[in-house]
Amino acid sequence: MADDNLVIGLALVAVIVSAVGLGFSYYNQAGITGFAQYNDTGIVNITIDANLAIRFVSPTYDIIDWGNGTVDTGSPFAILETPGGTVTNGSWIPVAHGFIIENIGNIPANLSVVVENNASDLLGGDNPVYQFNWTENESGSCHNGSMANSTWFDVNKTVKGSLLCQTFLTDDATDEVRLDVRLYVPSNSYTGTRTDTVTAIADTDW
Amino acid sequence: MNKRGYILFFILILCISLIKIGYARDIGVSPPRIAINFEPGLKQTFNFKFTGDIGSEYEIFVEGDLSPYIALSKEKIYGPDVVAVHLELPNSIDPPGPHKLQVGIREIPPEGPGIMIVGDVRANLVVFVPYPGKYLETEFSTSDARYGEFSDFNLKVISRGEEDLTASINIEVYDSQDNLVNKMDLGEHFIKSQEIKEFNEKFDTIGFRAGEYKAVAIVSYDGKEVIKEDKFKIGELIIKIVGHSDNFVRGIINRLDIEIESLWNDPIEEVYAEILIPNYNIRFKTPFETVTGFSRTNLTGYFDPTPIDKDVFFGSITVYYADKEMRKLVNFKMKKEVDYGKYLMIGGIILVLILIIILIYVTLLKKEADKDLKKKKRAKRR
Repeated sequence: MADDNLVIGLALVAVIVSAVGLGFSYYNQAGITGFAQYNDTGIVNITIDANLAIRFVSPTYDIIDWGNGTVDTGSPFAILETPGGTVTNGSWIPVAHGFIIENIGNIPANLSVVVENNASDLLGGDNPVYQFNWTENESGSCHNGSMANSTWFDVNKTVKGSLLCQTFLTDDATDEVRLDVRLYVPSNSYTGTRTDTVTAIADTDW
Repeated sequence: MNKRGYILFFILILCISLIKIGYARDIGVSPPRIAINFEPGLKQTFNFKFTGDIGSEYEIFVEGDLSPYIALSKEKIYGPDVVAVHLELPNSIDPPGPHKLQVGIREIPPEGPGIMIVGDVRANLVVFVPYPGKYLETEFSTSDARYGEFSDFNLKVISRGEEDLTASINIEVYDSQDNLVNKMDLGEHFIKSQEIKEFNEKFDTIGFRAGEYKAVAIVSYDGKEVIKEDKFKIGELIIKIVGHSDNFVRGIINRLDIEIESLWNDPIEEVYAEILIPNYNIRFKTPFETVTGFSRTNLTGYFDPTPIDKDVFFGSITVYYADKEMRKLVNFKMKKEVDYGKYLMIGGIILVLILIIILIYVTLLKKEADKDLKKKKRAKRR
């Protein structure tokens, strides 16, 4: 009987100690560690620099090379065009790609193209033609240029060249233009390897 | 080389080819613009970060009337690099105004046949030489806002003259019919020579109808006015699809009306809808309509629902307007057809059942009557 009372007494003491401990724990937790009770703020500071940059989308698309060929006998000239990859009245290898230029910067650009040689310099002969035709490879990429979209125009070798886009945009879905090339090679043109460099100039009014 | 060596060599070549396929030629410059005010004898260095492909050769160049006052830390680079541009201005520059220098990167083309394209990207370094006397320039921009929110008006007032000045600044807001609807007086401000003062104002859109507005910043100084304007929109150019007609009948061409509502103040032209019923490969469009401001209009199209074998079928309505689109997925319903045969059959069955019940009832009554008659006969015999 005495043993039973002792056990009951110890159990009561244990319960009381536990209850007091629980109270202290709760009090301490609420008062000291209650991190979620505070509204804290953090500042994220980041500066994004403006960047003006263009990309020629594929290395195979930065050269247009029709290889060797001749004007068909009896034809006054051959026509070589990159849209559709056509060669008419000539034996050159068709090239079906133009130059694709992408605005990979984060500000709109002015985009112009200038060449080193015009049609007479490049091809010689009677009535040679060396023309460009630009299109939006991604619709809505280019605004307010001075050269009409989808229209052939003679290349320009003056300092400023031909302005394709006054506003060449940067959004991933609207930041690509394509430049196609047309040549009329006269039957009495220069012979040998003929080369030219087209320079795509990007600058900004901003 | 043993067999293993050949395999490793082949893998190496393949890897190089794959790297080449995924390669694109980049060229760029950052920052693309730096603007400074002229100070006599100013010496300053600017760092431009150029982008290029590793291994390619690039020329760094300067163009513009102030290029004699520039020295470059490098004139050729072979990949991404930073070039310091040292500017040392003279004691005076004529004429006054902005003098633009272009600091650029130009790819040097490799030798080769055909027509090659190369890049040339240019940053602007602008030196503003003050005009004699007092001279102000402004830059003004606004932002579109939803109804109830603020449109941000940002006005920069730049003193480009040699003398300090005091300017009074007002912003006027006009609706699409050019009616003055609001005026903000930003007060008078003292602006030192070559100082830029920026004003960020918030225009509260509460009380203004959705539509296009024009804000005009008028900066007055020394008997002159500099006016700049910018357009902004309040609300959203939204067309809601309110509802559509149903009760289509197979075997004939049906009319489908789509009711739309404009939540925009101004008329919206060339609005049309395209309807798609994908499970039956039916797609058709409505003609163009003009929707006047804040109004409801029907877009009407025609189609043949004969191939549709269900009474309720899924489809989508897409309304196209002002380079935007609003799509709604809907369930269209066919007109309920009355099945007289079914009703006749059910009626017949019910009639037969009633007759059977009557027959049973009559038979039972007759049996009861026979029993009573037999009972009466037995009683008489006794």
